[in-house]
Amino acid sequence: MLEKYLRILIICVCVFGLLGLLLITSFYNARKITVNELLLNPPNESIYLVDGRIKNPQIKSNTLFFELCDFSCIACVYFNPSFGLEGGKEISVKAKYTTFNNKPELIVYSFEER
Amino acid sequence: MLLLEVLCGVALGFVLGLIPNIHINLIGYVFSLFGVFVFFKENFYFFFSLCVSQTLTSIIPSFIFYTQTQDVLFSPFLGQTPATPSETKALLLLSFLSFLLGGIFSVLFLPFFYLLFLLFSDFYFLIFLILLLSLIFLIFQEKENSFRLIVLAIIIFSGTLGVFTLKFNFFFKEPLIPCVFGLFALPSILLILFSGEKEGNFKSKVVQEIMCFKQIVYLSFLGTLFSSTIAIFPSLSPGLAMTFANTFKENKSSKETVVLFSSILSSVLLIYFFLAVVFNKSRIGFISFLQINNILPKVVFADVLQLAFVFLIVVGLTVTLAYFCLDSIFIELNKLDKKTVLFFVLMFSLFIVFVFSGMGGLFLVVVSGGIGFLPIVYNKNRLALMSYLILPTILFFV
Repeated sequence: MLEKYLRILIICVCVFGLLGLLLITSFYNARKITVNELLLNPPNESIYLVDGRIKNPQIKSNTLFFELCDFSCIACVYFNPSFGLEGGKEISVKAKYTTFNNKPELIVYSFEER
Repeated sequence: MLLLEVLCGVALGFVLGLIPNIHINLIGYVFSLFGVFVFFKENFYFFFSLCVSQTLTSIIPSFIFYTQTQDVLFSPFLGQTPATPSETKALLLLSFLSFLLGGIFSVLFLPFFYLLFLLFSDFYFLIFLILLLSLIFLIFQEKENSFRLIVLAIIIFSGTLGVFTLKFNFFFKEPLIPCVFGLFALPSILLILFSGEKEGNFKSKVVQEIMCFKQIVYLSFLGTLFSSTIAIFPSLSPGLAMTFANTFKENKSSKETVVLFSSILSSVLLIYFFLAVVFNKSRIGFISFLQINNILPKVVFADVLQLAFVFLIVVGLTVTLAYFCLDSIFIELNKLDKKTVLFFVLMFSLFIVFVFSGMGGLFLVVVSGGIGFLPIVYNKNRLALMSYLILPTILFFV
C-alpha cells in the first residue's frame, strides 16, 4: 500500500518538476539589450534579447558561427542550424551571455526578426 | 618527474576511489573549486593517472557498499545476491585481471580506433541513427509492452530534463552536477540509507561458477571492442557498451558480467584520453576540465606512445596496489558504518551542488532524483536514464 503511494509521489515529482521547467522556460521574459550595453558587463550566464547586425556567418561541424554587431561585435554560436544566415541582416536573438576561451560569447537559442 | 607525477596521481586516485559513490567528474568540480587545475597546469600525467586510478579503484567500494538494483552503472553486477566477503574478494580479483587485459587490448586497439574515429566521427546522420537505435534498443530489451511503455516513460522524462537543462538552459548554473547526481547516485544512496538490511547478513551462492583464462581473455577482448566503438558516439556510456556486448552472450553469469564491465571500464579510459589529446573531443567532465584549463598536451606520434605506455603503468600500479591492500581495505571499510559513510557522501555532494549550482541546483536534484527512482521502483534497467544525455545529443544531430 505504502509502495503505491510512493510511486504516485515519485511520478508527481517528475511530472510537476518537468512541467515547471517547461512553463518557466516558455514564458521567460528576457531583458532587451544592445551589444554595446551587453559588453559593458562581464559575462553572467544570463539570458538576454540582443539586437544587432549579422556579420561573418559560417557553418562548421553542424554549428553556425557569426558575429552580432552594432558599434561593437560579439561572437555568437547557434547549434544545429536548419537554415543559413545572410550577413548584414538586422535581427534579435534570445541568447545566453557566457564565455568561451575567456572571451565573451552568446549561445543563441532562437532568432527573432526585427 | 614523469614517474613522480604518475606515482602521486595513482596514490591520490587510489585513496579517492575508495570513497563510495564519488564519480571522477565530481572530483573535477572539487579540484576546480580549489583551483587545483590552475596550480598544476604542467602536470597532465598527474591528472591522467589520478583519473585512471580513481575510476578503477572505485569498483572496490561499489562491491562493498552494494545495494540490489538493476543498475549497470554504479553496481554493475546485475541480479546478483550480496556475496560473502570471500566471494566478493574473488570477484574483485577477477575484476583486477580484466582491468589489466582491457588495458593491454585498448593499447593494441588504438590504431583501429583512430581509423574508426576518422571514418565515422563527421558522419552526423550515422551518429544520430546510432543514438536513436540505442534508445529503441533499451525499450525493446523488455519482453512485454507494458514494461516497454515504462522504459519509454523513463526515457522521455530523463530526456526532457536533459533538453531543459543542457539544450535550453535559461536559469541553472552547471546543471550537469545536480542532474547526474540526482539521476544516478542519489537513488542508490537513499535506497541504502533507508533500507532495513542488517550489515553482515550475507547470502552465499549455491552454485560456484568457474571461468577459464581463455574465457576471461575472450570477454575482455569483446569488452574492449565495444568500448572502442561506443566511444566514437557522444553521450553513450560504458554501461551501454556492456549491454550491447551482452547481446552476444545470452546466458551470462555474474562473473562474466564482472569481466566484461571491468575490461570496458579500463579500456574506455585510454580511449577517452586518446580522443581528447588527438582529436580534442571530450567525453567526460573531468577531461573537459583539463581541456578548459589547457592542461591537455599537444601531441605527436611519440606522445601517443608515451600516453599508452603510461596508461599501462598506471593500470598495473593501481591493480598491484589494490591487490596487496585488498585485505586491509576490506577490514577497514567493513569497520565503518555504511549508512554513516553514505550520509556524509550525500551531504558532501549536496554541498558541492549548492556551491556550483545554488538553490536551483537543489531543485534539479529533487526532480532528477524523482526520475532516477523510476527504474528502481519499476525494476527496470537504469541505463534508460542515459537518455538525459542522449536525447539532447540526438537533437543536436537531427
